[in-house]
Amino acid sequence: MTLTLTPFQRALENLLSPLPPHLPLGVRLRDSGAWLREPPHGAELNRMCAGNGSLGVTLCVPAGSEALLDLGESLVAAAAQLAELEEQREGLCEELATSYESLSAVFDIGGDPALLLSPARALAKVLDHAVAFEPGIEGAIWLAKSDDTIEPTQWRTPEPPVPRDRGHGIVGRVLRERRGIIVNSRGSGWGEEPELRSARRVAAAPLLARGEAKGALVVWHAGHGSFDSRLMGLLTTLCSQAALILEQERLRVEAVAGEKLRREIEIGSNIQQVLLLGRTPADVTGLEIGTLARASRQVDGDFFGFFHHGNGVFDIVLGDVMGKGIPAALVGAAVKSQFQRFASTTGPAGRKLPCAEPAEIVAAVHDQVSETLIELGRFVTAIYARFDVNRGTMTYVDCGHTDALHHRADVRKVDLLHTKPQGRTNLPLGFARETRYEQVTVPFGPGDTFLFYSDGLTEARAPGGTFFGVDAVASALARGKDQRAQALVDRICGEVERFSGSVGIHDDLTCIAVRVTGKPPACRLALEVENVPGSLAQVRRFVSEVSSAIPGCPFHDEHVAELHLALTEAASNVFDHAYHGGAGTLRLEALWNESELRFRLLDRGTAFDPAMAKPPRFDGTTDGGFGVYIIREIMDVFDYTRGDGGTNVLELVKRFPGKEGR
Amino acid sequence: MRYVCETVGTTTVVTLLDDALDAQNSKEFRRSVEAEVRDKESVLFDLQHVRFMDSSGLGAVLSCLRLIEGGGGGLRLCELGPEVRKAIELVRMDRLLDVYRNRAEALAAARDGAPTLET
Repeated sequence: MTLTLTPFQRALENLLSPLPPHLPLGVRLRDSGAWLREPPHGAELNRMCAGNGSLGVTLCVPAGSEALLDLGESLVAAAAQLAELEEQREGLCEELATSYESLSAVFDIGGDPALLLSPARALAKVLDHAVAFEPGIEGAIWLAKSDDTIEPTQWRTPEPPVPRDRGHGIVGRVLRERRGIIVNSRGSGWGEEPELRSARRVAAAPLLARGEAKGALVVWHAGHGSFDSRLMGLLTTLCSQAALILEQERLRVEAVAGEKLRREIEIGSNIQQVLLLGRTPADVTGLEIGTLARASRQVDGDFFGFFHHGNGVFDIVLGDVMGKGIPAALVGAAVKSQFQRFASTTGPAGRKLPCAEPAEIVAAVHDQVSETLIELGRFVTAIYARFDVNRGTMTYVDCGHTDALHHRADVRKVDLLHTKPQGRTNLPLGFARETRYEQVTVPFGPGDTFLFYSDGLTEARAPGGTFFGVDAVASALARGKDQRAQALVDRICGEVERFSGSVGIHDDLTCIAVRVTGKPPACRLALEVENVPGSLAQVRRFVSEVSSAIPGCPFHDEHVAELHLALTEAASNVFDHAYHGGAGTLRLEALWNESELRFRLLDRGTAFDPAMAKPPRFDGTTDGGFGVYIIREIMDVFDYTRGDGGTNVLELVKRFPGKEGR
Repeated sequence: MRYVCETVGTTTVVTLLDDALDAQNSKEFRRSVEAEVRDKESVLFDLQHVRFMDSSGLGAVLSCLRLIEGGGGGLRLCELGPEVRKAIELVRMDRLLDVYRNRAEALAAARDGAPTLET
């Protein structure tokens, strides 16, 4: 049998051929088990081995012959270097576009309120995004019918696919397994589907609503190549958009009013959690964030979002859609996605764009949504605030929203932020086609707290009918000024609940507290490592060095062991995802103050947010996905930002034992 | 990545010679060692030299575990250092793995046919 050798294996074979035949060195190809060089005495039971897994060979020598093993390893390394010269080509740009594709699709679909009113148009747009992934892709959206058949609702293929039995083919598999499937080899994994006759690769993802598979998005390609996790990421995003569209449509035609209301609440709170609210950033250097988002029975369309810009610049938007129910929530989601779009400083292929002023961002969002909002007869109040930690300023644009509060630690006083820029009030979005938005800047100092909220908070009613009111919010803020931001909003929520008593709370309660924590830790030690063997061990030595450099050595052995693990995971994440296992430099900075140790990992590779990693399974069925879990278990804060000039910044904070807080 | 592979009775003993099993050598470990332990009825990983293991190292051990158990065999570990033990506990793998203090105890258990995994 002749072996087809890789460039590396060919190079190694050439290097091995001049060795004397009696030398007891064996080199085996791991995959086929075949010998590239057979050892003269055959296989021995007790032997020493050195594998190079990524190159697919194992070296074997008799036990104790370390010198011979060294020789073998140096030949392997030389062969690898020779082969590497051949392998340096293509594939660089591909990953760069990853995050941009999914994001722009969501902006495009979720960002157009008119599309939400026409399911067919919206689904067509979903499919357009899927097939735009690569030239030559064809695709279809299938819906499961009640009679156990499936039917195409949208397709981008010359012949419309024919309805069929739901157990059939790749769609049947996706509906059964309720997960995305990629098949890159012809003729396995899909059946006799006529539209797939000439396909060489197929990818499909389920449309999941309330845990059930309602249909599937299928794409295929007749050309050579392979689909990858990047495409699956896009399909998954698109499917959740499509599921939302379908659910809304199903509700519209749902006849029974009671059932409709129940579902509406369920979907509304889903929308609220996923689209309107999203994740609270754990911490921004110098700031502490607390959020409260209590959805009412009638969904209200309150939304908030956070945008990191790096260099201590951090934006918040909090908005409230007038009106209730799913339509209000969908409008909220659409408007929020427009804020996301205009606040984002990440352009195509991860390029860094200049950061616009808050008033410019609000004006751009207004231009985008006002026409549609006026048509729909809705308007949105919002406040957009930018914190600049280095300058010590907060700049905000108030679009007819409730006045934010500012507790100033130096004078122990709460200010109501209701300055009218140039003597006039900014209008809510969707009030008028032509309007101007002005911004106001206020300075802040250490210990100050800002509170942003929607009117559900101030308009909560007591049994007697009186409002909770802004004064009560302000005095709750003054009383809670020394608490952590999250404890403060929890406290305010508790006070509102007690105030309402038996009446209950009928609106959404939405509130964000931002506390200025004072002096950020200073950088004390730094390390730069390349992605080469041994660099992870270097990272661990650095961690040990840092731990013993902190005055009073607050961490003992067990903590240092944990820090070793967390930093190894974070650094290998960078090498894997930012540099895709290739060459690249990682800068590691250690900063500390009297209460915490903060590591910053900086790299200039592909944008990658580890928070998007899937949670791990603990039943032994998967080997991966534990890294981010481990970091979160060990560290108090784990945060990712894409900084200026295309730098990825991971921050890992460990509070000193006894100073964990919260 | 270096290791010694020996046969003691019916057990294949793999002793890792590197002091860490992390993202930079776990792939290699997985590929080389999987070939050694495939279809073996009893396997012991002696981790006396391994001072540190991260999630990819744990993943490689898990993948060997599945491979060995899939072939009807059993995997045992011995000589775990405190950092390795800590990592295993963090991802709750202590429930899946059969851990012994030292090689003698692990080999005795293998000889007596003690179950390698209580489920």
